Amino acid sequence: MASAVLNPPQNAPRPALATTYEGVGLDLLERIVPLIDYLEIPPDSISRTQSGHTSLRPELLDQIDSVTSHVGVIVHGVGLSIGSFDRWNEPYIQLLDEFFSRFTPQWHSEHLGFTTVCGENLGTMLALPRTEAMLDLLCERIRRIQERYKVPFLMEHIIHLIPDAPADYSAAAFINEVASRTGCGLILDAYNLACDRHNFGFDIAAFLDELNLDPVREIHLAGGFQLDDIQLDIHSQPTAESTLDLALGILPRCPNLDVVTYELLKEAIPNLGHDGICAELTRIRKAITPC
Amino acid sequence: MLTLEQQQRSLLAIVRGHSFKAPSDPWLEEVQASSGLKMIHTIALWWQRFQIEWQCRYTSRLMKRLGCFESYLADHFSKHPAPPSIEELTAQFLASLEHHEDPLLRSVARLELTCIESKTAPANTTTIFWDRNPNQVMDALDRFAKLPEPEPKVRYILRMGADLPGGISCKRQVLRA
Repeated sequence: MASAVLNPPQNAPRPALATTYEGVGLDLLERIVPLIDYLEIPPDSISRTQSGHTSLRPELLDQIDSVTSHVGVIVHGVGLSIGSFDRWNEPYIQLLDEFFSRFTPQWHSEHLGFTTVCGENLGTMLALPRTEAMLDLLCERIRRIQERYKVPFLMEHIIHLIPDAPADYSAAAFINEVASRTGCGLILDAYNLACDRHNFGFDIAAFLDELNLDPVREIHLAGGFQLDDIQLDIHSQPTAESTLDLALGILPRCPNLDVVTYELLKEAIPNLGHDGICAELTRIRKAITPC
Repeated sequence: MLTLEQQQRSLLAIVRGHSFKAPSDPWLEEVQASSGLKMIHTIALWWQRFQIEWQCRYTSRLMKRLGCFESYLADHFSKHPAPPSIEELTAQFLASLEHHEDPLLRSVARLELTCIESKTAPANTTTIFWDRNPNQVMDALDRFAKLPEPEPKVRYILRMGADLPGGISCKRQVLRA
């Protein structure tokens, strides 16, 4: 099938607004499309596995197709496991191939983490050691991705739940190296930063001062909850006022920022409700739109 | 200092609770003693519970009524590594209930498993025995209403298969004493 070229939405404001869509139903899709400029599609979440083979669900691709005349598409994966020492997750690449055979997203992105080791699922995503060895592995894989898909590729930092491995770089310096060596773009996740600040006193101001913000194309917003006083990276709530304020402080410092994305999990939809999701998108739009 | 492979293999073993001899390393000792490690286990179980509740709606509702959902889930996932796909995760969970002591739970889990399998491959005809009316059971679970009582000396024979008219049939059978 020929790849459709999706231009960015005409007259999209800057920054534009996006939200996650995991294929939960046309009724929600029809409610959110008038409120946003881009859909953030996680390929892992719109896939199914049959007889050991994972592929995208055609009915959900049709749903996405039905709104691409109104909104643009960006792709955000969780399943690549780009930092696994042995290999990345090949089935995720197959999902990307399938998606790109039908759509040309504005860009696609992944996390600076790993979810599998020797093919076995960790059940979580862990942060990468900030070492020269990891940089070599990571940059080589990013270049392969960039050669394979002719749209920008963005990397996102993740939260830390366990102590960092011995490192050659600070958190910001490591990301700077990744971006400068490969030319990849970056996603800054305000909620991840807020989680790290709450959970182990991460110095966000120092991190942002050291980070080169030029490659940042997208900022993520989300809300979660605490368990045993640990703030969890589970996107199930409206964005906390403090997280939104943090993002609003970062926005003007990112000269190439295109999109702000409100991320939420499909599991959170019954609790938030369609009205709640629409209200949150309206609230964020109002907050990020320059007066 | 550990190699990347040693780091990740050790983390896999620690996070998944595999028995292994950890290389002597101060960072790994710090990881094993961290509160975050416990939280990773909690989060993993939380995700699995979410997926089961989402994909196996009737089975999870019935298990909650029986008071065995949380404990069974924790026990199940401590013994079985989580497969990468949701479909495999839910199928594995439902299949594990095949020999559960509660006959109604066995029937409901088998029904949901058959529905999931029928989406991915044309299945052979499946027969599920019930000790009470399956329509009333599913309706009660759907509406969070009171479950029907088992009918003494009666069983319902539910058959599901692509070759059946409408894909499903149900027959009430009176058992001889």
